[in-house]
Amino acid sequence: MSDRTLGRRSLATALLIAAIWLLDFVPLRAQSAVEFFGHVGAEVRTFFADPLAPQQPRLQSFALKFQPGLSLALGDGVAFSAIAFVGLDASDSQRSHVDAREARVRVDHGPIAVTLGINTVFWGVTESRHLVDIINQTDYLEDLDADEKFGQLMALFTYDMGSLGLVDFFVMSWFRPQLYPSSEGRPGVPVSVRDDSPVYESSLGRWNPDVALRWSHSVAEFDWAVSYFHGTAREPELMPGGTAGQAVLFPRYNLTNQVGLEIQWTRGDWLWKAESILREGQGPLFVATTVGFEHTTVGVFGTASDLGLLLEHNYDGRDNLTLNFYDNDLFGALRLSLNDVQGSEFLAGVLFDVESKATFGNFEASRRLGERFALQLTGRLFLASDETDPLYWFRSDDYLQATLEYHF
Amino acid sequence: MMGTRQSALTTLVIAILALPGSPLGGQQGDAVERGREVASEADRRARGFGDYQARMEMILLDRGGKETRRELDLRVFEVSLDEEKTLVYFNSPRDIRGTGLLTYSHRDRDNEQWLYLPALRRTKRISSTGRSSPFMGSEFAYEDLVPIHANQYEYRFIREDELEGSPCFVVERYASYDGTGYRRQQLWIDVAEYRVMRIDSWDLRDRLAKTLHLSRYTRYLDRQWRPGEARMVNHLTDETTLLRWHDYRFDTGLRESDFSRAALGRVR
Repeated sequence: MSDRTLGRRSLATALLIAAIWLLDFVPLRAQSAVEFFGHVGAEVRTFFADPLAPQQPRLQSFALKFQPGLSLALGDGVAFSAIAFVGLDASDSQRSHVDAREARVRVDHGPIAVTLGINTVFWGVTESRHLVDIINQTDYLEDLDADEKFGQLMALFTYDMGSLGLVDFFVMSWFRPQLYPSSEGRPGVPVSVRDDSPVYESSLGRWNPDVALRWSHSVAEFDWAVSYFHGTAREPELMPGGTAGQAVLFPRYNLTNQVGLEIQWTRGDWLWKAESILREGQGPLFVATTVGFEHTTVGVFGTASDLGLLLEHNYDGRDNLTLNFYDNDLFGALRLSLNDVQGSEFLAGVLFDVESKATFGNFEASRRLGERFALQLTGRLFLASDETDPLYWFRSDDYLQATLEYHF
Repeated sequence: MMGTRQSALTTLVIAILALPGSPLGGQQGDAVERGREVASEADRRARGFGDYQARMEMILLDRGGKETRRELDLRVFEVSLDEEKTLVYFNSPRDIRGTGLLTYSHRDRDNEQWLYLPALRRTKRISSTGRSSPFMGSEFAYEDLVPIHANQYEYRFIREDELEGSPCFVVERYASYDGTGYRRQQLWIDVAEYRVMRIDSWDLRDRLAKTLHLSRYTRYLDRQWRPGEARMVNHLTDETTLLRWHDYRFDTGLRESDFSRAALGRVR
């Protein structure tokens, strides 16, 4: 373990302890202009097979996480909010990390809103891949499902044009590089990725100013958005390096231009969705597309439950497989919502690579326990025999994860 | 031969029943007309409020008497007599704190709905057809809570009756929108102020499924009556949900832009 990771873990531990201690003093849900919220969670992962590397945890790994937030009204139309994340992993030093998901001031003035600081933003409509979503770096350490993100420093100007839609203009800097599990991490990558020494195409490195513009609108049954991004790509290319005995990969971040399109048609019980990007700067110009639908059957099996069927197809025109998980993949999933007091939900899905036959299986179940606790079960299966498919890295890492969270 | 004669006879009977002057047809027509009049008047009186905000408390009571509480914030904006925008924001249970539901309800077409999920910072357009689904595991279905225009129903006047000493109109209504969980509903509307006091709902198999009691009415702006409490009893499961409104505020200076998709993610 390097000094860097040791330091990171001690910092995370100290913050976690301090935060839990502070919680006892904070009046929960104050009625004043300040509001505190968030959750503390404990997580156990159980693996079904022996690890590929001896230093990885054999059968189980444990982690704690803490995500406190506060919002504060500073006056008429001015608000500050902050959300921190502290993760502590018993085996993977990289996964013990601290992040500001949000720390920003927002000023609202009629149809104009200005947001300054660290912020998290989501773009997109599809479920199996967040294709157009490019503002924030994805925090894959926390979860492989790409729903967790690192906070991004930005100035965001929003103009609500009413019947003409909504325009967002972003100016960003202080790039957040992708972080990878350490050699003790599981699921892990078989080679060391030097995420502490990224290579940037921009001479300004992580300080390169990135800009983005998005116009979104909704008319009757249609919702759509068109976006443009210019700046450092969030997805790196992994360049081989190091010595013969010790292979390492260096992440390289190119300057890219991306045009994105999102559209959803909401018709009765059907949601028809499509996302597409055109990106330049990472090798030849390429197109990637995700299209599909979501259909919900209300009151299925004569109960109050809703059953959703999701089908999507992913296409990605890139040849470079280190970047390409979704070259030609089918996604199918069933989602059952019991609509009960505990908000019980089940999701089972499969992402199948038509060419390499690699299959990613995902199972999620969640339920509230009482009013403040929530239990989540997550199962992940990685079935890959083709060595060139990125899923092959995780072939021995099938796992079941249980997370218990306390929300305040 | 027989067949033709019988059908001719049937046609004749139907023609007589439908004749405007005939006693039977007239009563039917009157009942439909009067039912619609009462419902439209109740609908009309509940409009013209501009905007309002309230805090809502939902208390779920199961058969064993166990209580589960939820807190919601409600904001409503009247765009026109034909369109209303509603923003519901969840304060508890705490695991879904910050979740927002934005609804644009229209007189003559399906509602538009967006759900904001704070954990993902994602605003998702959702289908508005799941009207019969329970809201947050309560005894209220979405169609019991989301505003639905009077002309999305057909009506029939049943009788005049008394409810706890107050004279009421009893009007039956039949939803003409898709996805309803009710075959029919009987509304008790008080003669004095045209306030809905009680709703009995029959499920699609025509069983009396639920009764909603609305009480603690208060008048705002000298003309807007709003209930302080709604008690929904499910006769099939014996479970009850109480809904209480607190701190009703009218004319709060809300603007239509406070009900945009962008504003949905902003509510904190």
